[in-house]
Amino acid sequence: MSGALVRVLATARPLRRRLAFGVVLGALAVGAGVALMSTSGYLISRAALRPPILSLAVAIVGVQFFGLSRGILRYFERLASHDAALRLLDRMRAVFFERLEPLVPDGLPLGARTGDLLGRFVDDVDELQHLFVRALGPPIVAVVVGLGVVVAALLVDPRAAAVLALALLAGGVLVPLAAARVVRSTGRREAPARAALLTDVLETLEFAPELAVDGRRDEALAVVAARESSLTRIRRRTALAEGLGQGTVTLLAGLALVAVVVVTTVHGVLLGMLALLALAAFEAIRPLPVAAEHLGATEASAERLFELVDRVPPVRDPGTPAPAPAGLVLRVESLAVDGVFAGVDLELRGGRTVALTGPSGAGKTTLAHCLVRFRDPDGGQVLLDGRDLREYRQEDVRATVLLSGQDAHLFATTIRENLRIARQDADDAALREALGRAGALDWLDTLPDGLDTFVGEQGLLVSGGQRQRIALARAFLSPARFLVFDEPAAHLDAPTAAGIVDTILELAAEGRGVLLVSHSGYGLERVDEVVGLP
Amino acid sequence: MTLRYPGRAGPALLGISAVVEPGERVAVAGPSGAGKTSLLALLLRLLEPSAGRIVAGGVDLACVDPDAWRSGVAWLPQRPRLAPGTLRAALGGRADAELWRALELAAAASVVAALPDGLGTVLGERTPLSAGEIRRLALARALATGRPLLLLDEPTTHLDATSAALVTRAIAELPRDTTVVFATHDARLVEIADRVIDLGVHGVLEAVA
Repeated sequence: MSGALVRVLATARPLRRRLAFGVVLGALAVGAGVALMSTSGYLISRAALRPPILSLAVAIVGVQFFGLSRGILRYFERLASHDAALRLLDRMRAVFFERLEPLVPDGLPLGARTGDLLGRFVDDVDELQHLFVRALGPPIVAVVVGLGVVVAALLVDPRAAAVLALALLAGGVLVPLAAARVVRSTGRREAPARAALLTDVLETLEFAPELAVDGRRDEALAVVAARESSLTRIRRRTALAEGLGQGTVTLLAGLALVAVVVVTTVHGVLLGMLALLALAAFEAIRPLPVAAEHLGATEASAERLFELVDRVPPVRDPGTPAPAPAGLVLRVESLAVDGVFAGVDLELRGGRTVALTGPSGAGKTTLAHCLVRFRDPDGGQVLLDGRDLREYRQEDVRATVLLSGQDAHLFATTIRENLRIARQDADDAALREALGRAGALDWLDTLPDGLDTFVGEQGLLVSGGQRQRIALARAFLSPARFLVFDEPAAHLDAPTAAGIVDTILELAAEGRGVLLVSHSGYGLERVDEVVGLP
Repeated sequence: MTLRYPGRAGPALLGISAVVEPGERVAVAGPSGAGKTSLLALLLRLLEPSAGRIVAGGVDLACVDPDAWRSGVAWLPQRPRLAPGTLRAALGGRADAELWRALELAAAASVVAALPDGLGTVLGERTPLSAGEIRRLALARALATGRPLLLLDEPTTHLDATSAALVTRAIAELPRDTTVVFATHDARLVEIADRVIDLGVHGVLEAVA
């Protein structure tokens, strides 16, 4: 087993009891099935001889017992193993999200695509739930039940037991190995193929207007169709291997039945029992070809996940974090980011306003990212209340310093929920006040649904200026002591932009520290300090 | 022309009438939310007017195949994005010489020159480019198409004064076989327009200069 799967197993440790319970119930259910068949064989053969009915009583009770218990055991096995698998899924998603989250936005690989990230995080994590229930559970059940059956057969007839053991080994080891071999080349390609399809579908939808205008819509659709058919080819091959595997096991079961009847020396009722025992034993190994394929697929998915989350996050929390800062002074000292800027100094305090200017591409946004610790600088430091930002928990830093980014993301929900991201407990009056300061109240009052208006996927149902104002209202709602506004007036007409800058500068009068990142000149004459990036 | 969005109380645009002559530079002005982007979407035929019509060269656009119409139109969206993949492909995959010419015009050549892999840079979820740089690159993409009608949504937003001036001059100096319609808040860009379509507060036409 590969390293990636061992690491998944380690993650599943807290669930080992539940998983083991599912496997035990599975073995009991399959065992009850085998016992049902062989008892039935005995009962039918015995009854054919028309003995006194009383002498059949034990066998009849046995058939009833195993028949009922098989169903009940199977029911609880399903319950237990699904419960364990879903808990595992829950845990895996949490574990991988925790490790993915620190990578966003500055730790992702350059060139990472939304569809591929989504594919890994949704489909590949989904695939891992099959590891226990479909890949590792069935072989354990097969070994336990197979051994039990062979031992039982040994008590009746050693020669028949030997034949049965050989047939079970062939069906339980050779067939799954062969199935795994058939899908080896394709099975590992399924996860990347699925992610590629997802990526292209998402990008074709996301860029639909641009593609339509460029006249490349049909070209994009053809790419999606090609992805789809290559995924279908892979899945067809997997289905072929599965079908062949299942069919071969069934064929072996039939052959084993005949062989056992031919080689055995026992007669009468025991013969009937033995024959059905042989047939039933194959129930235990029927899921094995599928298990072999799932093992390959889960391994591929686990590797894809670890490849992503094993990236070193650009920032980490310290081992023993400093207590949450009060938010008195935010100071930047000879800050440098390789190849972007060097030697930047600025200081923010409650009531103080600073503007950061510079041509586009000078690193204004990069510097803003350093202030909220999306990334660390390559030289110099950012001090919050006299301590380096790296000494605090990231959460505490971001509760103290808020970045209102350019082209802020709007979630596909209502205006109210988009605002409450900044302050969970804000009531409608507070939301309206914040929108009023952002100059969006008149607009809000023209909306029939008001705060309940749905803004659409990525906020596409509201105009660029309104999106900007919702983002600003978020910042106004936030209780953070320091506010960093990255190009707050973009997409706004001149009078509105001026009003917004005035409002932002007023925030300082409330005792907050404000950093205005801007390339345009408006309001620069009224800030306490202007810091220019070359 | 009138445009209503389903589920919204008032119309986004109400009774707009305007003329654009071939080769003109036309500014679409108006406060935020006046419907500038919606007007461009109508000209791109991404939306159809709820009432009224657009006539191009005497033909009602509703009678023209949208793809055939768009094959003569290039567009700079309000929130330009570069498709994942190489920068060269994102810019339309034309010959490098053509791309560089367009990049020069859009004041974006220095942006590409500063990237270690130049036009071969791979773009994705994380980008080394700033919003202003992406806008200039997207403008270059639109210019490189060489199509006769350019629709530019806020071409100078996110740009510093120098880049904005370069872009403004480039738009003014485009050959006169190109018609340019741009939505903007930038007074200096409005100055170079031959004609201004001023949408009022609620998308009501206020004046045609």
